Amino acid sequence: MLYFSELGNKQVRSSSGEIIGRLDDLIFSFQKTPSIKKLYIVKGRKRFFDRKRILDKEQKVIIPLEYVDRFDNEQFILKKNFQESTVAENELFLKKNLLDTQVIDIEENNIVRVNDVLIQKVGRDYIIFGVDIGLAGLLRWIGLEDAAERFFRTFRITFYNQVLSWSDIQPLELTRGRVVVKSKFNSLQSVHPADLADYLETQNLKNSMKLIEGIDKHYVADVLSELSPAYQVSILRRISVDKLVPIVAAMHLDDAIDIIAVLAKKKQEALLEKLPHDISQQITNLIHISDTALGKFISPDYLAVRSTETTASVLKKIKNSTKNYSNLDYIYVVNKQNQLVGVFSLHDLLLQKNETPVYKFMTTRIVTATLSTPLEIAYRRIVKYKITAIPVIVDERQMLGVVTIDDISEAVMNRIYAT
Amino acid sequence: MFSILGPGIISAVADNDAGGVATYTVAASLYGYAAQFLIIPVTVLLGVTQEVGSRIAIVSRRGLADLIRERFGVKWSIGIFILLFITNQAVVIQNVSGIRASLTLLNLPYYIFLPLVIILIWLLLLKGNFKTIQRGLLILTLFYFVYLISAFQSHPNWLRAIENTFWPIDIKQFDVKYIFTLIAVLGTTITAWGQFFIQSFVKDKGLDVVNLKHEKFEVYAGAFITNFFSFMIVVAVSATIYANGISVDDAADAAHAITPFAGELAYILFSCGLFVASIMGASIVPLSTAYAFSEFFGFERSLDKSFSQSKMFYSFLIIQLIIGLIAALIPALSLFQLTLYASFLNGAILPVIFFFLIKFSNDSGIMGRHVNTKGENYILLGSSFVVLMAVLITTIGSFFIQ
Repeated sequence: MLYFSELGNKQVRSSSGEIIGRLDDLIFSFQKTPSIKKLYIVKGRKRFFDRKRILDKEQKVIIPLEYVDRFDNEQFILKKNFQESTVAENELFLKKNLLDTQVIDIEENNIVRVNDVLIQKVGRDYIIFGVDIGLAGLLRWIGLEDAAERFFRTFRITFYNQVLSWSDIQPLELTRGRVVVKSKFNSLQSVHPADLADYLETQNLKNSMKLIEGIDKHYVADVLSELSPAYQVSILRRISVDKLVPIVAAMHLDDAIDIIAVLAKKKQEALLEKLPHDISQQITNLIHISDTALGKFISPDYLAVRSTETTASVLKKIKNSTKNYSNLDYIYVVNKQNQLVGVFSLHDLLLQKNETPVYKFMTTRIVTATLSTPLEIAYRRIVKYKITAIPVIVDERQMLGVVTIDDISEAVMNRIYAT
Repeated sequence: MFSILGPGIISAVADNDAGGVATYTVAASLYGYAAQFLIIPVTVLLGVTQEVGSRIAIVSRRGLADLIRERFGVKWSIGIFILLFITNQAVVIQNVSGIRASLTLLNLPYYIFLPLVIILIWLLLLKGNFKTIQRGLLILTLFYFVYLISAFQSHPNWLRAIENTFWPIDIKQFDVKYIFTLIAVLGTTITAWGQFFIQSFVKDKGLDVVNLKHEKFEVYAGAFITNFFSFMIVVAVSATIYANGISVDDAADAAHAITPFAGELAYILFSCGLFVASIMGASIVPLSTAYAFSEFFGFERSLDKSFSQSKMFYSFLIIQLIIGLIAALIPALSLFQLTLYASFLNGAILPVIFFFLIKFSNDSGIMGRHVNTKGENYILLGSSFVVLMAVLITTIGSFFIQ
């Protein structure tokens, strides 16, 4: 996830290193899933006062995103033969039209402001994922987000990111300078379950539960299966068995097993009892087949670091302490209580500058398994999320070890041949 | 009758809060008639700034803080808000000390009653509505008639008073302290919070572009009325306190100004008036801080919502009141000793506020065809320059004196 506050004002250079200007704004196409199309670059000094007139100023360049070769914390580097472009009819400015404007949240009957814009990479596109309307978005501009988070944590106040996903915003209003958020409950049905799952994970559990209880069972089933396993567990723990029955019944069998596997034993049994007989029969059979715990596949060869460590210190740790590892693809991030909070790949790490702290580039959507996760399910997750190893956690998200694809491939294959 | 009176008059009258009364009293006790030098240009300037502010709000339907945030982004908003918070806090301290002064005058132990009054204000803001406050403000105007009558009863030298508004002939030499006092008088008349307040008020009232002319008349009338009464306060104080060489250290001294009219009743009348003026200031200034905060940062703003629904909004109200209360409970602190400093602070940030007014009111993207006239621009630019210079001279000057 990228924040506009961290992208704006970066230098833009040509492939030969010549400075072209400073990134002032981003231009996005104005459609159902808006994606970033062009960079708006101003030459020379920053002008505070003339945002409305930017189009009349001479000292500006618009360059399509496809000419961006790469970018990092400091700068954008363009490809060799980049060309200038202009604003198309269905395009809008991110900073001028969206940032700092007011958003009307109909459900809460609030007027809030867009404090930051969240951009997510999807395939080769960068789409506008949503807008940050919370305190965190404000503090990010002055570089105090992390300090504030630590401060609030010492007082045991959770510091939530308040994010509205793009699907909640009525884009038509954008052109008129005012953004209206649709009533959440009505707009949900038209959102892709995966998008809603993404959105839910930015919300606190209470809000998520409220949303889940308000929507159609079939739809909830789809959304639940799209959630990251860790978030799934926290949500499922809060849904009573009676409410879970129709949801699980509406799921695909595969997904239903995934869900049931993460439940506590007692809840599992209660649920299976209450499900319609034919469904519970099928599920029991499938679970029975894959009833091999992960325990014997766990490897303790993994590296865990803290989120505040820098790239340089992580690299040093790798050199010093992983000599005997058979494999190292991922580095896991844990907090004081050894709870798993993030992950990044070796490749992610190598792309960073020495002083960049880990929290800047780690992923917080982690695919995990528990000791009781059936082998097949762990394997399926590894394949589904295209990873090479899955971390195994216990109760409070404490990390036990990892299961790598190498270690379980053989067992899975044996089982396929055996049946 | 109340329904035809609008934001213009109310904002202008609210400028004469406890801080206003105290500042005029102290200034006049120090310099006599010369304290109102420049009162005519200041009146015009007050009218212009309020008119520009209300015009921006009518045309753009946005508050001043809204526009700063939308046009200048987060960093500027945070900076300006901190500045506004500090100056408003100074005004709140002025007003809470004003309550303390009036309680002392009425022989009530302030360390018991002051916290009670603050709780009362808090409840008023929590439960009350805007109309109550509006009416209270207008009733407050009646209190100033006391000064009007006192001014006449004290048989002042009217010619000299008027001459001094054009040139301070009573002043032997322009020193730093005199310029400091003039900025304080300016700062209590044209306040930063007043500028934010009138725009939020106009926006909430939902006035339309067709009301522009009516609104223009109203703000100028408001500016005239306010400064007419300020003038009368200065005249009354000059002819009584200044003429007798009394230095104003507390409310009892200040009450001397209305003895020609009220005689022995003066103390009670003055303390009641000061009490009401302080209550109004102490409720409306924190309110304006909280409104500005909500506009800047987009958190819930409304007096109609319960505490839990708009925590941030109410937090800023109570923080300012509590800081004001703590400051006013310090026994050594007197309203009349600190008032000039608080007002000076308000005057000193005016160039910043004017900068935004000029910027927004000339932006045809915001104002359409209702951009400023050349005259208004010259007045705003000229006075920003003069105030800026005066602030610099005073700051540097006082540095050298010490």
